[in-house]
Amino acid sequence: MEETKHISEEEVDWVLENLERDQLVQKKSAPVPRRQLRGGELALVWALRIYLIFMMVVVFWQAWAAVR
Amino acid sequence: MVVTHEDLDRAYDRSRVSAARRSLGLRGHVSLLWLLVGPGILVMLGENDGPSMLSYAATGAKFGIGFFLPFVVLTFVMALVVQEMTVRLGAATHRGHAELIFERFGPFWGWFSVIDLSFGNFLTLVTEFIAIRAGFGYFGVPPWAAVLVALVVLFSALLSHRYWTWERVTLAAAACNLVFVPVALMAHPQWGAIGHAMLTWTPLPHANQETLLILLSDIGATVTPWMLFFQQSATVDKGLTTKDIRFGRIDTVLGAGLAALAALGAIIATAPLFGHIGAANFEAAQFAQALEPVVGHIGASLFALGMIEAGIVASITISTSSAYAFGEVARQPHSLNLPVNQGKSFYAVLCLCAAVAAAIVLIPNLPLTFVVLVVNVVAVLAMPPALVFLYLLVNDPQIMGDVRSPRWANVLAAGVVVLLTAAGVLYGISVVFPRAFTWLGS
Repeated sequence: MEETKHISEEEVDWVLENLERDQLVQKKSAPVPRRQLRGGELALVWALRIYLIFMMVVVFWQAWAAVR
Repeated sequence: MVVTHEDLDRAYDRSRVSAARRSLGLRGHVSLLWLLVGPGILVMLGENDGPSMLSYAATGAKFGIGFFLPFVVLTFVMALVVQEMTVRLGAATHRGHAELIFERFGPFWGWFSVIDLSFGNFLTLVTEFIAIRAGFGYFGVPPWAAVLVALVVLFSALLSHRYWTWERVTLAAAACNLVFVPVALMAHPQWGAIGHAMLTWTPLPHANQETLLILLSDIGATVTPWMLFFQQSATVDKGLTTKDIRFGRIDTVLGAGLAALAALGAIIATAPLFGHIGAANFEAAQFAQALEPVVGHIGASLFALGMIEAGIVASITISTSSAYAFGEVARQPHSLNLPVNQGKSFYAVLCLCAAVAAAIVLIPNLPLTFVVLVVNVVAVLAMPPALVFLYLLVNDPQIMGDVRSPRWANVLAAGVVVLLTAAGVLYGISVVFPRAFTWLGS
């Protein structure tokens, strides 16, 4: 990688001394394993999603009416 | 092992923390605190933004000293409960909030979260520039010059390409949020009434739609989705680890305390306007002008300066939270430690969000009052879905290990979700059925 060209071996060692392995940019590019939402969790996030969409319509309708 | 310049900069900051940790006694602790505070204070003072300070000012002018003083303190306690979770999440996973939702729960829910964030952030950014324009307007500065000054400050904070420098510059600007405290003192507050209100939560406001709007607006002035994304990403960018969680908590408590002080200052400062100005007067310059007979020209000028500061600091933190989230989901480099050539998309998103929001407030005849009215309410409504994902993540043993949420934190978090949802539902009922609360005596 181009950006690593100017970093010396000593600097690499020093970085590894001062950062946890998981903090390195290279390590952070590895994806976190996927987890499926369970029944109750899925129902809750869907319920809150519907709540949000409905309330957004209510708020924008009311604010628009107030401004007009 | 590939090491980047971003790693090098972060390692430098961490080496200073390690050196401070090796120092014994009070000096070591003070040094550690100095090195580790930042994201918590920034997120809390950043959320004391333009629309928030206008909301507090409207609260003081509309309701005077009473129920809303302790209520605002309660909202900061809620913010503290929520933000503490982001500190643990960032320190344990070294990943941003958007990135974790995307990867752990999949792109479907990830995109929903990011769309909520981007929409809310953009609306809020527009209101920051409205506050900046109005604050500068008090001093006779034309709108184009006002937004230009704000953009120059925002871009200047980025020039060092170092998280540490950016954080310290923004912290220095954020400290000016406390300017609302001397304005409150200039208003000769009635300390007896303040003490009585804080202890008894009275006098209570009438239960009607306007009160509910202010209630929601004050909650939205303290707990919003961008705060979750920002503090977690900033915690990661700063390089905090699980060893630093205690100081991350202190940082967040300090931030909440300072922000609550400034918020109470704004309410107390405008309380003398109670009965003389309507809550619909949502313009910063109007508040400053109305305050002149009470706090004098200096006090009114400080109030206007406070509005400008609130807008500028929030425009910096909110556009940064958008840029972090974009980088996390687009898998592009996203750090304030990146040189421009390595973080083009990160800096482009950050600057573009702010520049477009700034340009919008310069377009004549746009219904900007509409945006100011809805922005805090939208934030409250978007919080419960965001909090559920935060709750799931901080209780996930696979990513949190030993620092997953204890039972007491879960109970408090569930309480916040219930309270926010209930406030939103009540507001919805009051809009759909305007007479629903008249029996309570409006």
